[in-house]
Amino acid sequence: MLHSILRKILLTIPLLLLVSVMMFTMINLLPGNAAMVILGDAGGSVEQLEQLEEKLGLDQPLHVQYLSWLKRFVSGDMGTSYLTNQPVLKRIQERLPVTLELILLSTLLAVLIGIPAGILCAVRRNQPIDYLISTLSMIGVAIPQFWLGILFILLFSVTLGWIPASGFEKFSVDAARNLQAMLMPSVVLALSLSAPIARQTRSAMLDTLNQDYIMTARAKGQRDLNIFLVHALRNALVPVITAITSQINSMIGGVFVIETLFLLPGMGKSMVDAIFQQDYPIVMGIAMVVVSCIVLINLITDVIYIFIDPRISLSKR
Amino acid sequence: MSDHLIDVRNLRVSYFQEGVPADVVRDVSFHIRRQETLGLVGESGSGKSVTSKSIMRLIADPPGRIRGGSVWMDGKDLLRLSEGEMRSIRGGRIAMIFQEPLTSLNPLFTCGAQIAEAVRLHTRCTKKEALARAAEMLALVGVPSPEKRVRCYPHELSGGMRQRVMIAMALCCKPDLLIADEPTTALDPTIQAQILKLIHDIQRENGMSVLLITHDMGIVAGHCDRVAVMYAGQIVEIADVRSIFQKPAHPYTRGLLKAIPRLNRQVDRLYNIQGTVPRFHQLPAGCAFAPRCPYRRPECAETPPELRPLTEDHSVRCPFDMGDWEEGL
Repeated sequence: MLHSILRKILLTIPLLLLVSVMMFTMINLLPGNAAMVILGDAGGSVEQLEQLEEKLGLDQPLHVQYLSWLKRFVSGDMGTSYLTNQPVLKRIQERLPVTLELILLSTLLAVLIGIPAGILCAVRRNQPIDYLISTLSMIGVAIPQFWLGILFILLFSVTLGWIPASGFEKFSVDAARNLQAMLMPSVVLALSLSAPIARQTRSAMLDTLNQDYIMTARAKGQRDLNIFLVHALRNALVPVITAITSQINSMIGGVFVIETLFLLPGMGKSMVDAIFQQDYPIVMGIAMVVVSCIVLINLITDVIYIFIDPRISLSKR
Repeated sequence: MSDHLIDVRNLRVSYFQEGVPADVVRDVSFHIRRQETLGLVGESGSGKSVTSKSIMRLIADPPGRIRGGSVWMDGKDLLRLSEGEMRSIRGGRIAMIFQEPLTSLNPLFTCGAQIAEAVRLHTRCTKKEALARAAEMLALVGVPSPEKRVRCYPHELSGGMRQRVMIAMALCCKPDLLIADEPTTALDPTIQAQILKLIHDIQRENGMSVLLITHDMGIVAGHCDRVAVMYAGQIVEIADVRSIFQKPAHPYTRGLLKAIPRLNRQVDRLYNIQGTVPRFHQLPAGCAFAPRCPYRRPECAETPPELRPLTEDHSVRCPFDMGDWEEGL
């Protein structure tokens, strides 16, 4: 198993390379460059601009710029921000925990909401509770996260005044404050994430409840609750986990929006700012981290499958 | 009465399709004696499986529902027991094995765990004792190296082995009745014979009764004491196995027997009963078999026949005496 995991990790290298080339090209396709941003809209003279470009290495041909970035990246130097002169690595170290906390919290919430809701729907199929939850989850899938986020801020921060819309503090500094700031964004993300989880759980449970081994379990005198939670749920879990993984992957995009909306100093906000400022060392650094995270999440999922289903092995897939 | 283990009376089961009920089991009555094997034969869709599942109340509701009748066992009507009381009967006093050993075991649990689960549902014991009992049961049903097999997952075993595991699971609490729903249909012929012999041997040892559901008249001849023939949700003939084969009284039973291929007779075409089983929501007004019956008379299409006794142990749902069967046996 260790061998297959190692192989999967090695396979991400070409993926990272491909992503870096694409990112690099796309940033440079945008009009303007970092030197222009630094000098501001008022702009300096042409000489000043050329000087700055030379200093930043922006006058070099594109492939030379890319290769020098790659060379430094491989040796562990992710470069420094053009605008703040802060090392990219340091920026990521500051911002990554915020984003990871948000993803972790919202996934946890989404699973806690989605899986029981899905089971309930399957067990009470075609009864009012099923229709209610199914309708809610349909709405949940359809509502854009940023809009839901705005509604939340309007209701809970502006109208009711229960929770401030922003004001982030590190968990290690003030845990209560940190969780307070995380509450609304993670609930917003969790609500839209739990909808597809509930739907997938429902259909996977319905599928397994029709299987012959459920009849066998009934025939040996097992009670319904155990049949649902032991015999059916574990069998239904593989497609559900697949759904969760793909949702987390696509959630990373949503996280960026939500971070910007709730003013959380996470990687998403950092990334958005950097793109506007054409600060490509930061953009590249964050992109690499995000891709690695996605690869890691998929790897963890593959390992989880093995523990759930004895018929699955890593090497065969 | 005392030698009856199970008495099914006037059982009626409907399946609902978009709110419209179709009676798939209609007025079925029979009994199973202690230690005997009752065969339940009929084509696919004749209601054999539904009947057997109704005894254990395993009909999924919706779409199905038991709408009438009673199933008596030791003076109690199983259809009126609470769900909790019924659970102790399922797997305890009545056990069931199914047609598909490939899909009847949960793929994510070891065979040992699945047998032990059944043990622990009906006897007070530790997990360890239950697993030991599981290994013991596997040895009993002829699984080689049972200590190793208890740790196997179903996908690591062959179809025949899996059916043995199912039998071990069904028998671990020494039930009074084993319902075997086409236990060998999915297996190849040599394994079929082994499995049937295994069921037969254990039956004799434990003194249990067997309800054997099959569509194979050969299996009926070899393994059953009495036979009930079902057609379109009704029992059309019920008798001891000798009478069924020597003096079949219902035209449908005759058709079934004629359809058995024989090695000692040269034929160009095998016999088949003309037509198909009627759909449950468009049953004929009279005898359900009339449209396919070679002996039908005009009155058959009007009044549905009642089950009438010919001898003490032989009843038929046909008002006419056919005389001796011309083909003989």
